[in-house]
Amino acid sequence: MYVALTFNLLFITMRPSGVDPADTRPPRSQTFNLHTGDKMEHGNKENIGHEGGETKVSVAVSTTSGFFPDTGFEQVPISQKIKVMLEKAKAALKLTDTGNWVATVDKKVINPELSFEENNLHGEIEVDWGPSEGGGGHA
Amino acid sequence: MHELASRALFEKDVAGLTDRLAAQRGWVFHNRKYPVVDCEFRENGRTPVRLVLQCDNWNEVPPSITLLKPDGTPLQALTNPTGVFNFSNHPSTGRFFICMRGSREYHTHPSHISDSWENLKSLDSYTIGGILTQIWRAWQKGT
Repeated sequence: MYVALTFNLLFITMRPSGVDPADTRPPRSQTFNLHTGDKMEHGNKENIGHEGGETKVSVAVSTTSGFFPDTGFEQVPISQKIKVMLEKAKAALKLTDTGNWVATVDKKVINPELSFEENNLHGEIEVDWGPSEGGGGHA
Repeated sequence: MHELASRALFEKDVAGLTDRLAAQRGWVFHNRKYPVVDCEFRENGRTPVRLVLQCDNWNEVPPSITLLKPDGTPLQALTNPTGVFNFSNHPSTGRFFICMRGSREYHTHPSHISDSWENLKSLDSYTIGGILTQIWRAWQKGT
């Protein structure tokens, strides 16, 4: 208990180095890598959520039935297969027949069986998901 | 189908056709009010195309789809179009048409009369947005 109180007081009184008291911008949240003691940056589009050594990406899935999540992005490990996010979107948006659907990012087709990293996707990602080109034709 | 039910289904489908989606895809919606969805596809290096989906009696029947240029005049041609874009005159409408499951012109064409809309209308790929997406993908294969 004494150790915990001391620890908490330490965090309350600590001020991050290099902060100008005249700077009235809200402070960025600060966490520390417990193994190395290094400060870790957050809210950076290119290096999002590097907590505990695993890089994360911010992902939204867009369909004509809605977006998942419905606002903003979800933080997921970069090593996660893309299909995991698509399955979440399918459940949330109550989709049923997505067997021939195509996933793209910036109009390039991606492979949902691979991870974000394996698809060379980083940072903030909007996955567009929907049916492929229609069948029929040649009337 | 009763118009109220048709309108309710239309509104449900159109709810997903948001400005956020449009910005991401390069779509421009000119109209999203029952019973019409008027949507233009734009992308650098491609001939823009504007589609007017007439969704009366949705989804008892599929939408009737008219092909236009961005200025609202009839589209005459696309470069390297896929078979989805049929630039011959439809026997009923006399106009160029979308020859694809999910368009009224397809399901009423003598060549496809046995390919029933009934088998498709409950599928997610054949919501109003799903039909637009399928045409959009076909358009992306041309220039």
